[in-house]
Amino acid sequence: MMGVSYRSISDISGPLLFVEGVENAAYNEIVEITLPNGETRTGQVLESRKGVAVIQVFGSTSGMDTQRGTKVRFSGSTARVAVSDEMLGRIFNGLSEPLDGGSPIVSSEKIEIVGNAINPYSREEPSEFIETGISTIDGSNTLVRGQKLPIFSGSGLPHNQLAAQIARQAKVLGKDEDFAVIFGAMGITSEEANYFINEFRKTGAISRSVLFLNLSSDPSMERIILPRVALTTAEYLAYERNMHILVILSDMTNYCEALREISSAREEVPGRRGFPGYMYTDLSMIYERAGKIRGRQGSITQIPILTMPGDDITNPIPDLTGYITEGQIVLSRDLQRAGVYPPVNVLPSLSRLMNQGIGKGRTRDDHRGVVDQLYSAYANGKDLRSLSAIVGEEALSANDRSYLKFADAFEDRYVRQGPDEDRGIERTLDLGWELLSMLPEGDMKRVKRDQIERYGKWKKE
Amino acid sequence: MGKIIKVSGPVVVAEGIDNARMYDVVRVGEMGLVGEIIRLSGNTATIQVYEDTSGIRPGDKIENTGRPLSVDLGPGLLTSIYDGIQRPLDVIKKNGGDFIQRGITATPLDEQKKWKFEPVVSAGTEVSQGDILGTVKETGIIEHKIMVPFGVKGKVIDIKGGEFTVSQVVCKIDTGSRKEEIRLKQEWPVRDPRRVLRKLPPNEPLVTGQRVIDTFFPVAKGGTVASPGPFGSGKCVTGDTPVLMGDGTIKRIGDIYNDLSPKGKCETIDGEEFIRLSEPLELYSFNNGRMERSETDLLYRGKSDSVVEIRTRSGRKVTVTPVHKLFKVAGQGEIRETEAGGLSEGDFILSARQVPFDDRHTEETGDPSSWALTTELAELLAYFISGGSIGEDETIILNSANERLLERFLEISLDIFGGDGKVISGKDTLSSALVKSRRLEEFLLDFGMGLDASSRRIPDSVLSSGRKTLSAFLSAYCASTASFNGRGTDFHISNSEIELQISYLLTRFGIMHSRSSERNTTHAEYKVSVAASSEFRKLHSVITQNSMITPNMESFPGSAAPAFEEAEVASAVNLLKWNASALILEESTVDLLPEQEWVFADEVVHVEMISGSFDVYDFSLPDYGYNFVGGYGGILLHNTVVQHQLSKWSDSDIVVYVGCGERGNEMTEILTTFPELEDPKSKRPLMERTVLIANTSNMPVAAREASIYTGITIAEYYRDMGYDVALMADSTSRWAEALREISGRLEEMPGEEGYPAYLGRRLSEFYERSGNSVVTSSEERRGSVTIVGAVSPPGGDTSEPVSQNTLRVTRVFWALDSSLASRRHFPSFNWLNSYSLYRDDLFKWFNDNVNAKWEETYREAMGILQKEAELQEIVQLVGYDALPEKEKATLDVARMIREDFLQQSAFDEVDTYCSTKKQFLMLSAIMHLGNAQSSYIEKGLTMAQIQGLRSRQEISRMKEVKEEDIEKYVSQAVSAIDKELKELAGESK
Repeated sequence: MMGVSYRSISDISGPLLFVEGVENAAYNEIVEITLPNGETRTGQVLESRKGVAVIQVFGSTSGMDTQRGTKVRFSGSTARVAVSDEMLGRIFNGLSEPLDGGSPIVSSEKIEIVGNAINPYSREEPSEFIETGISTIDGSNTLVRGQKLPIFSGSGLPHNQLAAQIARQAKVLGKDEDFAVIFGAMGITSEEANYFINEFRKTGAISRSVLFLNLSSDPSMERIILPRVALTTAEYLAYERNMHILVILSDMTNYCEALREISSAREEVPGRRGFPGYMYTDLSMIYERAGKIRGRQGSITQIPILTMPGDDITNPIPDLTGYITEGQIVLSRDLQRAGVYPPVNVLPSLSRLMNQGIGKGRTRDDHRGVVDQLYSAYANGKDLRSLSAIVGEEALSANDRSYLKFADAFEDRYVRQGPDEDRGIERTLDLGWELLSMLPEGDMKRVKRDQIERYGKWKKE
Repeated sequence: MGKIIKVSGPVVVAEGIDNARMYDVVRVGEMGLVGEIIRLSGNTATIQVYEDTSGIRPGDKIENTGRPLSVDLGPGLLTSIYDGIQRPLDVIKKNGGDFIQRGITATPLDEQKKWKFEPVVSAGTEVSQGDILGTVKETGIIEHKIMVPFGVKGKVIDIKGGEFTVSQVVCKIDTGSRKEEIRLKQEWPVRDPRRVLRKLPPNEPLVTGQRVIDTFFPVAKGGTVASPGPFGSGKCVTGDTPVLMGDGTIKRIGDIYNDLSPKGKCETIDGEEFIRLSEPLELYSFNNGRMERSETDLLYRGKSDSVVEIRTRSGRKVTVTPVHKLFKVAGQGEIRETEAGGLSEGDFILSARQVPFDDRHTEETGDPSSWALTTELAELLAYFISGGSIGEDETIILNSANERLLERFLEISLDIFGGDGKVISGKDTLSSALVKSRRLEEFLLDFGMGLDASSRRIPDSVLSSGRKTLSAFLSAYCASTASFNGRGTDFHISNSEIELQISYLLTRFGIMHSRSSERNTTHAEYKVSVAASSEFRKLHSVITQNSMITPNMESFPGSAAPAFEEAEVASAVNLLKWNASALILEESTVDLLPEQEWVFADEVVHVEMISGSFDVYDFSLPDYGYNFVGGYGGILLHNTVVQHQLSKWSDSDIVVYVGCGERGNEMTEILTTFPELEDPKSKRPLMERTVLIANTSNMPVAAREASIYTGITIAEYYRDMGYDVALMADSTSRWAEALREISGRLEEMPGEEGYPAYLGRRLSEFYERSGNSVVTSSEERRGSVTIVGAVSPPGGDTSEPVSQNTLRVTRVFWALDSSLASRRHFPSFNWLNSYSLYRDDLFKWFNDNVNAKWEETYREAMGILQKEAELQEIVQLVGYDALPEKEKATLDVARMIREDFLQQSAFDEVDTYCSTKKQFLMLSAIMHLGNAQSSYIEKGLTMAQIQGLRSRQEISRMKEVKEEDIEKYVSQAVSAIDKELKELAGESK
């Protein structure tokens, strides 16, 4: 099919083109579409049968016609992406075309973007701590290398700022290894995109990042391909170049909606809320590309971000995501209203692999204890907060009032931090001890005696 | 050769395939992707491809292998790990790297390995399909039988023993029309059930050794079970709980866990961790009426959302999960395990009174700091801990009001360490002893005395030393810190940790004491009090054992023992008032608590439920009465850790585990833990009778659909050899999702919730491949396949189609009940919602093989459990006390069935497996007691009277009795019950 062009478009329906007379277009083959006005767009074969190829256009179909004005040229190959070390520091769109004015990536290594599954027999259990400089993540929901830990957000919450901050600050303690961030943005606004680019430029983090941007005005179909391109680049850097890669994907909700758009354009049988029945498998093929492989240096850690429509955690997108990923970080609208950044609600958040990454020799021996203690004290404080709303603060005992104060201080000092504040794990844990010292020492049941002596901030009797 | 005409995801349409038949396997495109024909229409065939189809285009070739999706069957299957279409994952890794490449192939069986074939027939024998030609020792456990393939019948013309690979010809059979070559391996299409001659009625149980299964919800060999996934466990105390270790030291259970977990074998089930220690840990337990040193090698950690804090009159405290059991002393001195959540203030629980010394404590324990701990050194440490400090210039300062003590300190210090020193008398302040000695300072620093007084503790090397050293320590410490008053002796301690250590130290000398603390804003003081005269005398005798200290004792008012005794006699009640437990002991004397030498009854004064998220820990001590000494002051802590693993079942020869659509990291866990498990029967690795099939969620969806067929075909193959095989499919819900996805691609009309209309048929076809059968062979040979299918419905809602269709075809349903699990009732089968349709068929086997009264006993027991459920509703309305005695008796028996029969510990060496004979004896003993109770109640006895009977305790101990002793034990228990009931009835008349 190499280089063959057709002008025989019979139907255009939403993002789909039906090209007639095509004998043998390959499934997932990439095509180039030239509009009557000379503009070009890219597309991919979604279904190919003798005589007809169904093409999904990465971009809008406006301006295309069925009057033989539009030309479709089949490239002969499936979606592949050129990868090289030079991608670091660059900005691309979803099809891996440069957006930063630089030259396209030229490389002999062109890799298919549909990755193969890691052999379960080759996987290694993740166990290395990643420091993000954010207390609510490092302290309470620790991220480890090879994990996939999504952020469940809502519209209007500052998940992008949080993501940018993680991208800027992420590092592994005590090790000077190649660490890079791959940022895949799907359907974000140009303001947000500029924010990312400026942030990364300003701090110099851009030199160890690869950005793939798909703006909300950009074709939604590109969102289907973008995470795969990003992950393919990640796999190359991780497993061929021995780098530790953090992949941030924002926002997966836009990805799933693009998936739904294609599914409905193809008139497939809809599943829950109109999403296609294969969404579970489709998402697992993205998320399961996180991991570590025995005997290889590099690793891929994923932080997918998704906005829950209507803050509804039972929506199929967070629901299916939660089935596949190892925990979640939940942002809270209440904290946001209270002006706390980052508004991470530590109570429903969870990192299933946390225990593997913390403790003596990894973070600090008191990590588990302090965090458990903070968690229970904060939970207690929040309960008391709702209680005091009913009975009034005066009705609480002095001890209870100290918990109330603790909960406020916890949100104010531990959860809240500046968007540029890179708080080390030591500082986070010490801060935890400082906050705990507002409470009676006798209530410290989760921390060890000797740790209180070493780290505690109580005034000595 | 066919040509592709359409590609859409994993579904490909092609035309012109030679001899296309339904379910033939085809090779798609240049890469040779594996696919399967799933629809034929004229000349076109629809194919589902097991791998990603990117790049496949119309016009690409399709090759028909002419065979349906098949598996290779032969030696080497066991111990293998396959994907859904029988590609060995380890070989794929070796050949294709860490990612599963498209189109990669690997032979399922090792073609190089040579097996030793031993023929059992000779040339000239007439054989037909299924007949055994010879055997191969496949693993240490299983003998692989080489059978005549299906469709072959004739005379053996050549057969030879020796070493062969799976593809070499070992035998030739003349079928008349042609000569058939027989190899060690054969192929079989996975979607075809392997035929059997006939199915037998399910008349023999798959004995699992689990009482709730075998007696209540048995599964027949060849049966089908629906079970909602794997399940766990039990949880116990919070991480800060102190535990008295076998060497006398005290450790927090959380610290023990942290220290030991990296060294042990860890198994994680649903977030609960079980650590099998390589070296056992020594603790103390109360067992068979005495306190003894115990051992455990199993450590547990899990989560709990609430805990109960219990404090007792004597100041002991422990925080446990609500379902954690403590030993409650019931009215008549009967000891009953009671859940902490069910305790109320005023109840009495057992606390440790004394913990034995044992000869292994040598007098001079070797110590890491190389100081041999003599009595003098212990004494010195005691003085220092109570009030010493290290000043500048190697100066050691000890403050005390008692100058004799200071002089003694000075004397020992200079004696042992040399240096300079003096005692300075204080006028208004305390006097001090100053010692300037570098060696003394070193010694003190080595023993951790560098810390300030509030964080010091008694060094482990002191606690683990012998009686003599300890008594020297205790007497010196007593001299430094104790005060004496009319009520007894109080130790005043500034630090809660030392107070805890002293409390345990006193317990080891068998001195009963109480603990209390006083706190004001700046200062906390902890007090350990020894008050009862008998206890004081014990303390006195310990102290005076050490002749060096004895002179010091004179200066204390307490040494005027006779005077004290008089005072005590005068106001005995007052004296003992604070210590209700002591009171109980003296009033109830020997028959109430015959074990009183070791334990005492301690009144619960405070019970508080605390909710939140807690890490909780436990040990398993099956051989030592399920308890250990721990808590703030020795309380006996009961424990039960149960974990069931279907694959450990004893009665099946082969286990096939199909992991279908799991997370990658979860599967990794299974792949790493399974090979470490041990077969309980043969003590060989469990893998030697196991085949694992793993297909994670991101592996091709069509292969997920195929995986359970691959599994069942392997299971059937071993059945044909005459083995009993158990197949575990986890989970069929994910399998059904794969079916739904492929159906969607085929644009089929969706049925309920998007599942294809044939979901029910496919499920029932799959489960129908189970069975207890006479396998195809000219000799009569029996084998069985039992299917245990896990369903994991979203949100636990079993009204969805997969669960419903599964329940329609499976004949056993084990309903797991999370409320039982949270109450630590294990295995957590709900006895009212579970069912087994094999029960009636299996009664005959049980009646014939175990006991003729099996069925009768079962029906009676089940009746009582049902009655209990009704009565519970009434109790909630009117209260327990309002029930007639007869009903109270029913509740009592139901409780015994639940606690003493249904609950079973998987970690107890004896209880983990319970033979059907023992099951029957246990249940019949409970039923006998129940019937006897009711008949005596009709004669006028009350439950309150009956509950005091000592022989009733024997019932709850039946679990622990070994198989060989159980018959004698039960008959003795039964006659003891009869005798006691008779006596009781006689008395009340």
